Amino acid sequence: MHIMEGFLPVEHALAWSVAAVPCVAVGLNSIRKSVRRDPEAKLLLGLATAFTFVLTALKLPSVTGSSSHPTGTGFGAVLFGPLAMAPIAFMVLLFQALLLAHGGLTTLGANVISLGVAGPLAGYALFRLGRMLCLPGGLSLFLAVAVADLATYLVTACQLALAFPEPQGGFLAALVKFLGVFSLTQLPLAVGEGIVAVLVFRALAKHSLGDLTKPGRSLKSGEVAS
Amino acid sequence: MQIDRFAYLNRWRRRHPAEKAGIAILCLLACLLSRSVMVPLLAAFFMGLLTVVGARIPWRTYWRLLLVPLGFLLFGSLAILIDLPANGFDIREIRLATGNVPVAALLVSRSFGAVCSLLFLALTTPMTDILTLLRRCGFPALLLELMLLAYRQIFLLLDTAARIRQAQEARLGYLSWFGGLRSFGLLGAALLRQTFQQSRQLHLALQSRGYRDDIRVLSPEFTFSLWALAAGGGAGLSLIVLALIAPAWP
Repeated sequence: MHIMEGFLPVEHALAWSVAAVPCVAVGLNSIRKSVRRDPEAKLLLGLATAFTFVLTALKLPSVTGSSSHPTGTGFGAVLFGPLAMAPIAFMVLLFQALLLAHGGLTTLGANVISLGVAGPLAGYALFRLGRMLCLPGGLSLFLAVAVADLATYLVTACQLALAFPEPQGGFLAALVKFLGVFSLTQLPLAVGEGIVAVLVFRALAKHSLGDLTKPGRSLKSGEVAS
Repeated sequence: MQIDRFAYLNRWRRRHPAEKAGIAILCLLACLLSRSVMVPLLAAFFMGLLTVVGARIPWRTYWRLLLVPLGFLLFGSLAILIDLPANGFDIREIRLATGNVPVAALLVSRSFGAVCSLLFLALTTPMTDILTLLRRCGFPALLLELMLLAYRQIFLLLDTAARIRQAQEARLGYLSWFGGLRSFGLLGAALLRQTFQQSRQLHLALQSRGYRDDIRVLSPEFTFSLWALAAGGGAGLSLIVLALIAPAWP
């Protein structure tokens, strides 16, 4: 879920942008390291960015009839590791702003934090937890992707509530309100995207297992079979 | 991807990207800094004028492009305008929060002005020019290289995705909700596989041409006029000054 251009007051926009810079830098460093090990990884990440952009530009079939686009954050975090997702999210969001007028330049920092940092970290943590508890691979993946979406949604609602607290009730009342309004689109999206991620993984595991478990990916071959 | 098409075809394509980005960013700043409803609307008008009259973007297209963010904006400001009851979630208890009306009005006008500024930049400046500009501003080379690779690939993948989607729809792949999800999953898997495949091929192709971590492209020659810079910069700066001195809404 994006915050659109101009939605945040100037102090908030600035603060979130400053917060996003180190996250993107750390991610870029981790990409640089994996590129040094495997030069092909650079091209792969570039094309993965394009893939994420294309996937998020497509509409997911949705229950409520509202338009919802997949975020791809949880899926990407499982496939490429959570650190690489901050720069990827930065690039995808910049493309979305300049090619689709979705999101914006002043809200880029806030959106990188919610979509590129909070979502992937939560999703990846849950995926690892699921594997540690020996849950089936499909279930772990579903939970990871759904939780990544929910974490993104929660962080976005917090960002909005911080920017627009209620006159009475302040931050918490505003948070409840934003969570309520956006749950109309975000809850079905989390479930739908989780199911789609499992289906994508199944299809890939069946037809081109090598693509998922090559060096440079964060998955081991045993983890794909569900 | 209409925006990308117009970015190459508009009348101001050959103007220096720094000029266009500078004006857009000044207007964006004016919108954000403003406490009054009028200044962002003024900025929106100015940017719309430059886009439609200056860069010759057809106004019908421009309007249609504006409609999408406007829809989001109305949905978003709805959350600020309504007032949830303090105890319980009775749907009949939801009413208009009169205290929040000035906040919402400022928000709508600010966002509207900002979206117009963003659209001006997006419609007049192709991504490759923006990447060149970012390189000059000292962005990390690795990030820009990844973006260049991604930008090139986006259109190939979009084309594939559209064709797969059409084939699936022709076979009634999106009739039911779960069927739709399954079709979408297959589409995603096919697309991801193609992504992997193309990245391998691109790697081989670049390697065989002596790829050394640097893709150099020639940028076209830009016209650079001091007069336009002064006019645009002056207008942008005066908007910022106006934003700083204009009083807030009563």
